[in-house]
Amino acid sequence: MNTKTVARLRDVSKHYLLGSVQVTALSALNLEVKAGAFTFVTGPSGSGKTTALNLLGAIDKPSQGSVDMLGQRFDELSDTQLTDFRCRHIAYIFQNFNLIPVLNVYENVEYPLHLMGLPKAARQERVTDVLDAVGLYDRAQHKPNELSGGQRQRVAIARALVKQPTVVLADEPTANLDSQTSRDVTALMQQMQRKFNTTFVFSSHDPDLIAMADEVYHLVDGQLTDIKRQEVPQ
Amino acid sequence: MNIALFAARSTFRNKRRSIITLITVSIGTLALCLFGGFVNTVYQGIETGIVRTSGQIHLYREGFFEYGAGRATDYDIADYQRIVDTLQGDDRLAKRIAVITPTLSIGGIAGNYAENSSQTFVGVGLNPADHARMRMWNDYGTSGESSAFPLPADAQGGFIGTGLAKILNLCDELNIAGCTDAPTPVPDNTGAIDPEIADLQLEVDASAQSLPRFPATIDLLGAAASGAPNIIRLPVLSAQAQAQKAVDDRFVAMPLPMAQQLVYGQDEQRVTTLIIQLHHTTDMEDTVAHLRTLIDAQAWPLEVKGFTDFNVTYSRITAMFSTIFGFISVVIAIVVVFTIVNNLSMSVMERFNEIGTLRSIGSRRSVIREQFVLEGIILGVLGAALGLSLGMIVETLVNLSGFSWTPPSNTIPQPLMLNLYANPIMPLGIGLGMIIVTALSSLPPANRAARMPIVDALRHH
Ligand SMILES: Nc1ncnc2c1ncn2[C@@H]1O[C@H](COP(=O)(O)OP(=O)(O)OP(=O)(O)O)[C@@H](O)[C@H]1O
Ligand SMILES: [Mg+2]
Repeated sequence: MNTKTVARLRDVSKHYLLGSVQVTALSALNLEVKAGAFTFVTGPSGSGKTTALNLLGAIDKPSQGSVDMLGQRFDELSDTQLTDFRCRHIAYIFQNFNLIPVLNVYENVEYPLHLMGLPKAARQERVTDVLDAVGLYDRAQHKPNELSGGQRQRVAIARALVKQPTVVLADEPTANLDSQTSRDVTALMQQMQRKFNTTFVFSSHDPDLIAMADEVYHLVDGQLTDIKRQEVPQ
Repeated sequence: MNIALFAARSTFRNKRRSIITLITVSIGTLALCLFGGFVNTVYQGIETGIVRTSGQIHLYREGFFEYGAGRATDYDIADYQRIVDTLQGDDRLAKRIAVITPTLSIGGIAGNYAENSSQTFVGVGLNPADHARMRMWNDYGTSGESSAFPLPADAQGGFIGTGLAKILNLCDELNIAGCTDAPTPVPDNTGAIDPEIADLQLEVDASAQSLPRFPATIDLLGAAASGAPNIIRLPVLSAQAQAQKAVDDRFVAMPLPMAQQLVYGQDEQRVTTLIIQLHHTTDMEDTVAHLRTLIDAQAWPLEVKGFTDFNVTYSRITAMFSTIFGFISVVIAIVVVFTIVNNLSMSVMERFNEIGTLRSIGSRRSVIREQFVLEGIILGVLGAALGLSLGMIVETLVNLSGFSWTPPSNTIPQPLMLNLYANPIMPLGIGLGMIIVTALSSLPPANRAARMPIVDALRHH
């Protein structure tokens, strides 16, 4: 396994003000994402998992500390530069799938490639490949509301992988799926990780998912309580 | 998936709401089109009325327009036939001019001494055949037939306003419908007549014996160019109502030689105005400029005025209607702004999560903004197109319906016509204006969508 670090939270804290009360979502968290690995953030509800992923995904800013990916500190980038950085390097898989309802499967998967400015032929090749890989090529013309939950999440996975991102962030991707579907989707992600050598960061309580983790960061009340490293045979 | 198609599909995600917005935009467009069509017809109707009686361009001796009302003979045009010939000989003018005709403005006192009544008059000497031709003008096709010019080409007399006919007790003689003579003539005041004028009166009476019989005659007393008083006896063939009462009560028109007889007697015959009627008013500006160069080249002491200058009513009425049109446009624009802002704000609210998703996978703020503005523009374009099409249908129906109305400067009813689409500039302007308004009103909701913190947006489900 490649042990190069692609992304890192350094001493990151995140506070929210609720009225006059300060809520600490994360405090002084250090986290490293290794290239090609499955990194997990677990913990009870409200422990700061989503917050940690949002910071890694450059859609939220830490109150203290810094975040970097591929050696680029996010706080050095303007809003537009950050957006472009996300566009090239970061992909999301959401608990609620978050597909665009007016776009069909093909268009949903193609959308990030539009943002990247890829020409039509290249887009077509990549979308076809990835839809094949997730087994939904025959559903290309369907709208999201014509698909089952598991199928929607596979479309979301295809949308994440199609741009060949540096990191895929998946916030409880199986929480809205039944256990069988959840296992299928998990297996698919594992398969995809091998196929495309993609780096994944998950937040999850799902033991099935956690079973495939390379590293597990356990949070409680925004504090890191434990890091488990799985020794994976080379 | 291009952004426009994406926006188009998003626009109709909530069909009911979008349709209500579309209807609002299209009804606003329709209202503007109908009113615009009506305003156009009003402008064209007024213009047609003016052009039929006064042409589009007047040539005066310098100073006549300002001071000529006081003493026209100080500002008259000598050797006018040569000027007319020169202008008619110019190729560019000849092509554009329908009629060029000399006119003499006169004034004085009109009397029907048999009935012991008199009234100051404002008169014109004109060429009846030319004016009969001028009345045929109907360049826009929206105005009905004009009433025929009251004088035949070889008229041996003139016509007067119905108001003047009443004042001079000529209603019966001229057979005017709905006109009754003044109750009783004012008690005898003939004793006051100046002896010199009384002499003139006798002379005229004597020469009139040889004339054929006319329904009525009036005596016109005026100042000759020499300064001496002069009098002519004018046979009155008919009366015709004039649009404004002040004019109707004083108006006398007669063949040019008769008017010249009053002012110039045996001296050189002159005129005060050369009236030019063009085939098309669109040529006016250019023709005026061309006339000015010709006049400069010849060093004639003439000035040129277009009808918008010599007829102040036109500019006043058009200014008034333009103001009303502007006011209605603003009201409609406000309604459209509220509808679009409301529609898009709801859309943004329903799609927080989608916006967060798009932003998190790399859509710039500008892409989000463009998308919502585009949705506003789509509603604007469709609404405007729908409104313009409805307008075309309604215009056709109204024009076929045969309603009639009397425009401000007319005396006889005209068919009520809407005329918006003949000249595409106005409907295109209305459509474009509508699209601009919808685009601008979509900016605040679009900006709100674009500026939303991604994390907050994603938390909405
Ligand atoms: N926008 C916010 N305003 C105020 N408090 C917030 C905000 N976002 C998160 N928090 C708080 O921060 C803490 C961490 O939230 P976070 O969503 O990261 O937890 P989580 O581990 O993802 O929980 P769950 O498993 O329920 O998704 C919680 O106490 C939450 O109430
Ligand atoms: Mg969470």
